[in-house]
Amino acid sequence: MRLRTNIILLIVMIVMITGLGSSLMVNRMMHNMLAGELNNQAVIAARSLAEHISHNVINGEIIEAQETVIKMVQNSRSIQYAYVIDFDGRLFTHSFEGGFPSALAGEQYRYHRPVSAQSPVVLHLKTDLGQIADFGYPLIEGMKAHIHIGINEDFALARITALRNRIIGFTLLLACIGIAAGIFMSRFITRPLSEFLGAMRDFGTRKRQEEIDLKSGGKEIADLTLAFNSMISDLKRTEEERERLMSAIEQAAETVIITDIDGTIQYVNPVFESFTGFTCEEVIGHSVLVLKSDMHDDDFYQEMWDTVSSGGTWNGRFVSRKKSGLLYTEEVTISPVRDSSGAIINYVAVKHDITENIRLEQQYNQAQKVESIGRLAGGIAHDLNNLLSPILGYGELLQEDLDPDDERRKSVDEILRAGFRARDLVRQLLAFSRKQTLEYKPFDMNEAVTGIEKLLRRTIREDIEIKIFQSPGIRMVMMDLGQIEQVIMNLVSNAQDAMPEGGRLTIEVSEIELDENYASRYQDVEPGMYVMLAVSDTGCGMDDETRERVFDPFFSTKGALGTGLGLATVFGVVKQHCGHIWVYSEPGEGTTFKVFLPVSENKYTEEKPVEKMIIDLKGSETILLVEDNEQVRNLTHIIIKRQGYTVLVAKNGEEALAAMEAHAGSVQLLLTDVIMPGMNGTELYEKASAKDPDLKVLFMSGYTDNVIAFSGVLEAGTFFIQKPFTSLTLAAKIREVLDN
Amino acid sequence: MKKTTINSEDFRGLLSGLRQYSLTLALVLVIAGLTGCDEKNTREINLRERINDAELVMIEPEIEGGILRFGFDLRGSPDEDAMQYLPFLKYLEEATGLTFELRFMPKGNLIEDELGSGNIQFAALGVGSYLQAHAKYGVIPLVKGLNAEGRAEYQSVIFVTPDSPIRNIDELRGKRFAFGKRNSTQGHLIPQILLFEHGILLGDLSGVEFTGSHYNCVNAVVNGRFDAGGIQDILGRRLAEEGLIRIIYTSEYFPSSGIAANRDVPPEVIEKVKRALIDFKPAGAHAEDLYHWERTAMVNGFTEAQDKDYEILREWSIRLGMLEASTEKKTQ
Repeated sequence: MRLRTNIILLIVMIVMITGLGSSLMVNRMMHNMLAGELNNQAVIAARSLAEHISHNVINGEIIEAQETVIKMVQNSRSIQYAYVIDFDGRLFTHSFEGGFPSALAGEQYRYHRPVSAQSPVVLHLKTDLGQIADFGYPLIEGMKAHIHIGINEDFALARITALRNRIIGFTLLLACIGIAAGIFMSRFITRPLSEFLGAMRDFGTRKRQEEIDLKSGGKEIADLTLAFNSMISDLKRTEEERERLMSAIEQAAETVIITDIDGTIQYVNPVFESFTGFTCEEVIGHSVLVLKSDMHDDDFYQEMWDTVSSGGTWNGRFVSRKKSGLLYTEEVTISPVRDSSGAIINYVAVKHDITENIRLEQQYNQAQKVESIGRLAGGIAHDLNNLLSPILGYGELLQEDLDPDDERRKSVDEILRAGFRARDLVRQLLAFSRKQTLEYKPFDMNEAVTGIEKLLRRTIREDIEIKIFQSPGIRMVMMDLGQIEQVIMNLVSNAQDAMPEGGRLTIEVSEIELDENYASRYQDVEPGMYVMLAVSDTGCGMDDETRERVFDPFFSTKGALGTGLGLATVFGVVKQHCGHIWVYSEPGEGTTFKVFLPVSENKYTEEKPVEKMIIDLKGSETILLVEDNEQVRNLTHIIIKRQGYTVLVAKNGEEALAAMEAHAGSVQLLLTDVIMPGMNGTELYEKASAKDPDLKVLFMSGYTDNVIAFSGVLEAGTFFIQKPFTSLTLAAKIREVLDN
Repeated sequence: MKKTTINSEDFRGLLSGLRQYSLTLALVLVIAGLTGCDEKNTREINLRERINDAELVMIEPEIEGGILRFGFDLRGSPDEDAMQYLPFLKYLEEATGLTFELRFMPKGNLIEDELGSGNIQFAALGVGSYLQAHAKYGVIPLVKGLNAEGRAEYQSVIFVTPDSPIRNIDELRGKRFAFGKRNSTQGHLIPQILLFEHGILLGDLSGVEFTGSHYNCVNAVVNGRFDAGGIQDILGRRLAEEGLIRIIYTSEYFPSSGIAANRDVPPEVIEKVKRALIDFKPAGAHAEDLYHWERTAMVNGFTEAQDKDYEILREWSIRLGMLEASTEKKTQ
């Protein structure tokens, strides 16, 4: 029932109860008062009468007594009658006219004798004369004679009834006033309560968040408002805290899943939806098994379940399945959630997708492996170069010494051919291991492709269609043209090998942007603009295993026909150009290699190639040869001495400086190895040039450490020759340096 | 205008609330009604049916058997006298196992006649009344009253108002004199003996009246209607102490009045009553049940009485003409 109705009913009831109760109580009190008054009146009358007539009764003076009795009755409005019983119990006298009532005659003899004045006998008689209270009173205390006074109650009763009716009327009036007051008061009381209730409802429906300010309603409402506002503040704080936590969960990068103790999903955060492809509606109420990948055995899941159900926290990795069926690896922490009593009520799983991390990790491992192999290959290349230098050098010297018709010359030619092939192999090793010396210049990739196109079309089988798509206007790339051409040749050669029955080879050049998202997926990619060189074939393609190992050195699917260094060299060159290579292949669907090289803001300046044909390689200048390897030193000495130069030979820097000091004339060229025991080539040149500023230098290197010494890039004006070299190459290089 | 709708839940709540309030109200009203009800028991009778006095006389009251009526002369107000005598009768009832009823003698009815005729069975009689009753009806004396000194004697006093010029009894000659009851010993016989001894006959007085009681006698003198009066000694001394009267003469001791029985009362009852009366100790064991017993002439109870104890007063009575000598002889 409504409070307002309650208040009205309560007030009406209080008024009615009070009024009616008062009426009844007053009625009773009036009756009691009447009884008392009548009793007093009767007692007074009886006492007075007794005093007056006791002598009459004792003396038998009936007439006098009767006169007194009648006079008393006549003088009273309420005394209806009086009669006196004498000491013998006989009626002595009475006030009735026309005889004594026979009913009283019987009564007075049988029942109606007072004991004492303190307890007069009262008979309530309903008579034809009205309601009469008959008081019996002893004439003399302790004696048999007594007086009866009949008091008519009707008069008094009429007054009581009138008073009672007035009270009832007044009560009804009060009830009406009470109803009106109740309505007014209930409005007064319930209005702030209604406002309060409205505020609570608004708060419940979130229409209202601020505190309420009730102006009316008294202290109780004020206290209630204060308590409510306090509650709102607490709730707001709690809500803000909850929202903050919810926001943290909702916006967390990790996947969050909350289940009940049976593993039924109760909550997933948005990351879960975007990552797995499942919507909330699709998973909430379902078991977490919807994500099960079948990549783990039952024991794995049982161990996990045992851990969390016993109150522990489970950490680990497992593979799950997205809605699309794609598998992914997650780093997972599953914790029990307890209620205030400590009972487990939920489990919360915070999961982080580490699939990409694993891939990057694999990339890193791959790079490490390549790096290790590269170091090995570089080390081998150094030794091989040092070995090949005398082979090739002395071979050429021998070839020059032999007559063209000499039968032995064929043998020498075969030695040199094998030596050159070995030199190329070493160079590939150096390229793969990124330990070769590069000469970077800004080039347009379109032109690089165009420059090699003729060679490609001559080299590639005719059953292979070549399509080249270029993008004019793209930016330059800092590249070693020769190395990039080698990359193109290797990729094209690989594509040809993948299409034994012919097909289509596509070369595409374009400028693209690798964004942050792409870059984040690969270890070796910085976001930015790149020039892409894509080489695609329609060949047999590769399976996953092959694709993963395609850049591994010495890995080949061509058996004895392949060295396993082609794509490894491509990988090394690209990496040394700070680029990135990406391969996509499906068995039977062909393969695409995409090489991305960072664009350069440098403008291409076409250098006119020095078209001078060095016909006369001989010279008369003095050359200071410094080489710690005796074989190379001796061979080089012979080559340059044959060209007519004066040669000072030293096996290290100190000897070289001493020889230079001891030499009477000037030295025009310092031909020195880069890495030597003690003083290296660069230091030597610095000291020697200090003595002779006109001294020129040509560095020799057959070892990757040399490249390290030169930071991998030759400074402008620095001349360098890669060991092993031919006599012709060395002579031409010396002449180039001296003539520069 | 705002539209108010009441859904079924509100309606049920309203009914439930009304039911609770109604029940509460009803309960309160019932309680109030019960507390407000008058418990008086009303009888319905018809007062218009009357019987005349003749018929009324025919209705005999139920007489309780075995009741012994004990008569006293009314000395003061009926209430006061009743308060004095009722405890005494109660004592007798307890002591004898008999039932007594107090009776005052109607004005005009002589107690000796009432006792002698058997209207009452016992009576406290003055000596004069006894002598009359004994002479006429042969009543049996039982006990004499003992005064404050423990003697079975009493006196009468002659008194005047405190401001009266009368100093002695001899000055009463020619004055108005009030007696008590005519047959009273202390209120009439002894005062007249005193007057007679001082040579004053009734005819020597300017006015004589028997006022009917000792109190009336005092009132008559104090009110100035009479110059002097004669009353019992105890009342006289008390009033004198109160300054209401002044005693000018006190008589010698005469045998005190006592209690006598109708001659038809069975001897065993008489003996039982006599024994109880003798055992009555108004100043002792039974004092606390009594009301101003000291105002009576039997302050210390009773002692056995014999007719010969009253011989002197019988002689005075005969001498003063209050008792016929022939009657006395006849009863004897």
